[in-house]
Amino acid sequence: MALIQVPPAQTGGMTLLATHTLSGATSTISGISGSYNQLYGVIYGVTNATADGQFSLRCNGSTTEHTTVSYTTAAVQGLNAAIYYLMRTSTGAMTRTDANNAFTFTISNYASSSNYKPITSHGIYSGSSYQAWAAGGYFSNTAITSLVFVNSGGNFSSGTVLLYGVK
Amino acid sequence: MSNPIIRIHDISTDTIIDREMTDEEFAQYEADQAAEAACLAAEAEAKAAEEAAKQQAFNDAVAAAVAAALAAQQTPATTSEPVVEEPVVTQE
Repeated sequence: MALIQVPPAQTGGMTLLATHTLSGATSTISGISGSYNQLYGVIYGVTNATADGQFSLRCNGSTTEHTTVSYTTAAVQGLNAAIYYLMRTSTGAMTRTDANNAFTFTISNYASSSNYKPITSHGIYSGSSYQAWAAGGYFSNTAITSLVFVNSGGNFSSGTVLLYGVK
Repeated sequence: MSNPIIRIHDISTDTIIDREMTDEEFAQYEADQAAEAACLAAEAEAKAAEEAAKQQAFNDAVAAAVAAALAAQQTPATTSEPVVEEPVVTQE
């Protein structure tokens, strides 16, 4: 009778790297370790102070090296260049003062210095009324060491980002 | 007027700094905002053009359907006099 040797289970898991409170015109998580395989983020309770706008993620602060296809049930959809759109706020869609929202994002291969980095995100906002989805990536061979969150509508009033490193 | 405040959270040292943008950062921030606004305006314009094209196509289809219906209702040309039907009167 032949014996089949089963390899031992690989160790892995998620490590909470940061609990970041969104604040200001731009809000940055820097000093991200490159010792993980993937970054996973959870964002919730986002509001901003001034006007409706676009909530975006900029890897390493770049405004020229992203592309996104995005869609929300509020009939806002399209292909966006330059920055990565996580969601949008507008009248009838997500109200900028409504903290009832939650999003997740994943960035794979983020520590690579020789390949691009795919990004996906999705979420829900304004209670249970709307969903948002976006996919794209960071077309740079530079390792990601910082994430910059921006809302074109003005300063963040609130919001939390939980950033995990995934082995 | 002071520049906007930004937050930087360095998780390698777990330090959080809230500070005013430098003039250079603010200039870049304004340029980025303008570029984003231009991108969104172009997207909105494209969407409006798409909607207008859809509406025009719908209007054309309706106009064609109405024209076809009117054409179907038209009496063929004839030389005969139109027939006038007498009302039918019944007595009990």
